[in-house]
Amino acid sequence: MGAAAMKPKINGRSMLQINDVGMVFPTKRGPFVALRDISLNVERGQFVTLIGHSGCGKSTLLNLVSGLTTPTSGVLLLDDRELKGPGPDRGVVFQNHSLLPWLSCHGNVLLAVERVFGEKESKARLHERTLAALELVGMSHAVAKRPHEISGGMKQRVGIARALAMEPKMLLMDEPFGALDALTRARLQDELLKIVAGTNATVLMVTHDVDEAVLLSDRIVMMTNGPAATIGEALRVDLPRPRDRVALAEDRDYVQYRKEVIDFLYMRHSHVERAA
Amino acid sequence: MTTPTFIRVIEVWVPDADGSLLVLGSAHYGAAARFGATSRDMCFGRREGLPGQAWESGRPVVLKEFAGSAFRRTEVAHAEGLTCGIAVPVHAGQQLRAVVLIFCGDKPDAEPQQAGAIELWRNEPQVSKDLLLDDGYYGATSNVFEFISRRTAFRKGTGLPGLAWESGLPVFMQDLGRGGRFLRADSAQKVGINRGFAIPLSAAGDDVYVMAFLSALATPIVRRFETWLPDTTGTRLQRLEGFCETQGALDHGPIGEAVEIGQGTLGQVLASGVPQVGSDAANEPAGVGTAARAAALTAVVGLPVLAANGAIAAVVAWYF
Repeated sequence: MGAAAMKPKINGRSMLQINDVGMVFPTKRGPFVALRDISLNVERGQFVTLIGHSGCGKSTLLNLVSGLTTPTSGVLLLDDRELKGPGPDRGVVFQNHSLLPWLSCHGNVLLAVERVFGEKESKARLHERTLAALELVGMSHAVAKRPHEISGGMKQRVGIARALAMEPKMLLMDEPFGALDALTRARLQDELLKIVAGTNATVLMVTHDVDEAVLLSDRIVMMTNGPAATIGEALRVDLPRPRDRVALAEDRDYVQYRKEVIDFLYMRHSHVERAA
Repeated sequence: MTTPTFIRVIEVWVPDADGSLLVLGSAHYGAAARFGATSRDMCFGRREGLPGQAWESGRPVVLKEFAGSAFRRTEVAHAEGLTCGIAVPVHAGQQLRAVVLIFCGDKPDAEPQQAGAIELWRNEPQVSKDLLLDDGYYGATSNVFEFISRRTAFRKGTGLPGLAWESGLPVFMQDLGRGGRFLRADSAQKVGINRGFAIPLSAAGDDVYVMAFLSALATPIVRRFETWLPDTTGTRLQRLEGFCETQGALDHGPIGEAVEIGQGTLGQVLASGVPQVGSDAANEPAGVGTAARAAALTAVVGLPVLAANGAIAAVVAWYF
């Protein structure tokens, strides 16, 4: 497949368009340029990861897409509509599960479902949606449990269920598995692969984890170091789906992709040292 | 025995007096003498042959399969072991100044096979901010290196082609496999690619093109290359940097090595903005000839790197 595959689809505009976005934060020592010249398109059904060193503005960029912050320059469009704040068209999964401790798993998901569909659907239908979302992430057995009664991995599953239950156009994930142990993380990555395949979700995910990026992504967007971080390089991952982590571990292409991302991160790291 | 080079033939085709045909301005054929003999009396109209295709399209063209294409010298090219031709039109604005043809390929029965690569990177500003691989010739390195190149998108200022795009000047990198600024270091190391050189190209439209030359120890792209920059008056060239297969990395050199406008091959490129091939590098004026004699170099090719306004931003010198 040639370079053409990396271009936006010609049968319509990209689902998410980030055009010349910059983000400057005021500080006591003057303006801090977090992001500059960010332009990125994400196609419908694509899984895109943002990877880079700490402080490179990955989460800042995700927050801009989620609408939690507003860019100081440039524009973000979702299906050709400018993003001006948070909305149910973007489901967000944070590293911290952010579940309400006094509500059950069912209650946490239902809260989001009610917010989006509450005015137009019956209670029974809202309940159905909630159960379906929990089933999708394998949490049917724990609908009545509260967050403190379940493991970290389970909490994150509920967080994903909550985001998916809103039927967002886009799933935004900020290091969703970063706080989990390696085995749980691997299991959830595999489940996310299945969920994405089953729902054809469009995902923008922030990660530090090279293996996670290669395993999950259609495209890996590598960011330069901050301040004034920007997109340095993008790598198209053509590994066939469904992806099996065990088989991929010995796959020549997988290893190649992985090394390219490590090269980029290593290069950036050494660049910082030289500059320092 | 001299080191075989990845680039084996260079031709400079220039518009004739009335601008209706491209005629051979100068060339380096090296060991491909029969190819040279066939080519000297040829001319190409617009759309004719590889030069005419580049003229018509106003953009670089990579031709990896001569047979069945518009290429007019297939038989003799195959006989000489030439398997890939790259046509680079040199534009000042919309005006075509020349078409440079670069030919690569293994000499018949050559050993080892050519390692190295020439890549054409392209940005379409109306489509995206990405610099994507448009095409490339990978010699014996194809599988490993091409795989990643075809899936990589660079942004301005990142990676070898991205740096050339940003600066508008040639960029040279050594020891690619050791990481540093080169982003495909691991793949490069695997196939023995150890040096990279990228040149921003001029094109007729808005698209941006960068040509990257990736060189392996066994088959360097050329035997020596240099980047020369014009001074503020635009009447003198001073060497910025370079690399010689026999002398290693080259710095700016003594000031006495400066080339005056119109002086020798490089000075003529500065004066005309037209690429030129000097077939007697040892007798080039100033320090160019001295260096060529010291390194036993035979021919020098001068390529202008043009800024958007048509001014010469740099002159690249390739030696054989």
